[in-house]
Amino acid sequence: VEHEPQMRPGSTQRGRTRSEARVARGVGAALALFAPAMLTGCGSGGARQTLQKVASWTATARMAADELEARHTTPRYTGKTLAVASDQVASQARSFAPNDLPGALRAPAVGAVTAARQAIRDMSRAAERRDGAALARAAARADSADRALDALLAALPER
Amino acid sequence: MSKILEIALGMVTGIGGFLEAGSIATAAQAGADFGYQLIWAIGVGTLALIILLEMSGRLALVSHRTLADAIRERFGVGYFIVPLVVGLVLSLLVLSAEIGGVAFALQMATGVSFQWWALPVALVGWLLLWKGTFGAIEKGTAFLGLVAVSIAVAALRLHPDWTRVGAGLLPTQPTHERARYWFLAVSIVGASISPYLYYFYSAGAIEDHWDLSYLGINRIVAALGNLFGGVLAAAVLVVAVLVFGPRGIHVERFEQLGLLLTPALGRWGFVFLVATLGINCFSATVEIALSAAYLLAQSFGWEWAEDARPSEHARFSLAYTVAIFLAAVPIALGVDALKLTNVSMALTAASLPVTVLPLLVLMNDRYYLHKHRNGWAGNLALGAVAVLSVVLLVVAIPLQFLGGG
Repeated sequence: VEHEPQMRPGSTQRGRTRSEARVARGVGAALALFAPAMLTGCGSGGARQTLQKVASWTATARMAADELEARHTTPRYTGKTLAVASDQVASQARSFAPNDLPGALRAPAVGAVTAARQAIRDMSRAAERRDGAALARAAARADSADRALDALLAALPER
Repeated sequence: MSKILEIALGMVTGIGGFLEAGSIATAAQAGADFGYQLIWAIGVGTLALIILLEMSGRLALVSHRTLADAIRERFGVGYFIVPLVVGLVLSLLVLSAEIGGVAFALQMATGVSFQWWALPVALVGWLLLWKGTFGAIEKGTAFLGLVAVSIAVAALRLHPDWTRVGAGLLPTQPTHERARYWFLAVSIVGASISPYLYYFYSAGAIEDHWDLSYLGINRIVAALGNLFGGVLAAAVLVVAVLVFGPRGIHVERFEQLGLLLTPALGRWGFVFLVATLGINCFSATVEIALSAAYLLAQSFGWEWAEDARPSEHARFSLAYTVAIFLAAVPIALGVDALKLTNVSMALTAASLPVTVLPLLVLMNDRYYLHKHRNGWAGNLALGAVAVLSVVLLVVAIPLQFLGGG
């Protein structure tokens, strides 16, 4: 007949001391706290964060175009920066989850993100062709998209 | 006269040493996201670096031992493995970030993608280490790095609200994105007090044959050089507040930094920014590669001296050769240099106790410092840095996950 091992004072049923169990619970709680962040990676903070990032890159693209027009930067630098902005906004647009937003803001948000994405893509292409007029036209559209994004962000509660 | 020259050169080196990829990037991010609110973190980092450099310099010139030598000798090889491994891993990470900074500066200047520049940058850095002397590397790159003064000029031309700048010296709670705020605070401190800086500084004191007559120079160089470096890092933050803040630009990539100075300085602003990023990151690249080689050589008792021929100290030369080319690989593979910078700065902050706590013991050891041991004020200051380092160890990694995105 096998007997249950006698429990030591201060031990749990599985033979671990209380302090060991406390450490294990602490580690479990820490993992529960940080696992979502580790698994999803940085930058998955929902629709508000996506809108913020798109607005930031739209403003970057606008400023890059303005500074090129003022001859403060080079076409090479501007072209590269606009290409990066285009990639970043496209990436944000792909992961955009408008369902996180209040119902009334979903459609305008999708519209603003799409408009920003298209405007910055066109800016990047215009910069590649060294077409100043097309760059200015696309920059004006990016400006409108940027204002729409700012209005949406102002309507959303701060995290 | 020569002592005044030493002080001037030391101060210039301090400016160049302070401002590199980590401090430029984190200060710009902080200014863009939180206005003047994080200037205090630069102040804390600067003060802590002054304390650590003065003490590691004093330790070297009194005991004729580098910080690494003294830690190994006093605490034994068993303990020394920890700062050695941590120091080498972090040096490689920070070295990658600095090579990334130079590569991005070259991308801004030429339009050629940063990945293509990683190995050429490593090659030029290696050539400088192979052919150059310690003095030429330290002083030459630091003098060129004075171009960073243009950032202070830009800050002045943008007419910041000095009352608000001053208010930023006092820590305040953020109104939004608390995790991001504290992550950036930790990264700024990590960028300011990277262990490579004081390993390099103490090895430099030995290379430059500092003796007891340099006690005062050590104090002045550590204080004023890094104070000016801290002021320039604060200037980056101020310019970011005034240029990126109103436009809603958050700094996520090095490319965005090309626009930092143009509103204040026009075309020259772009040129100065590219030069500042390129030269200061290059200066940090060669210093970190050298620092990693010093650490390895001092750990294993190899002969080491940057001024000697590479063939005379072959293992030391091999160490910086491997370090610089190994660190170039992630950038050549296209790793996001700004993310790498942020991660390495936070990890650097987390690693501080392994060197700061032993330094606290060493600075009170009569065997090493004789009558030049710390007094109560020195111990209070270093004790405060030690407490700060332990706090950073506890919070840095969780904040990396919560606010580093």
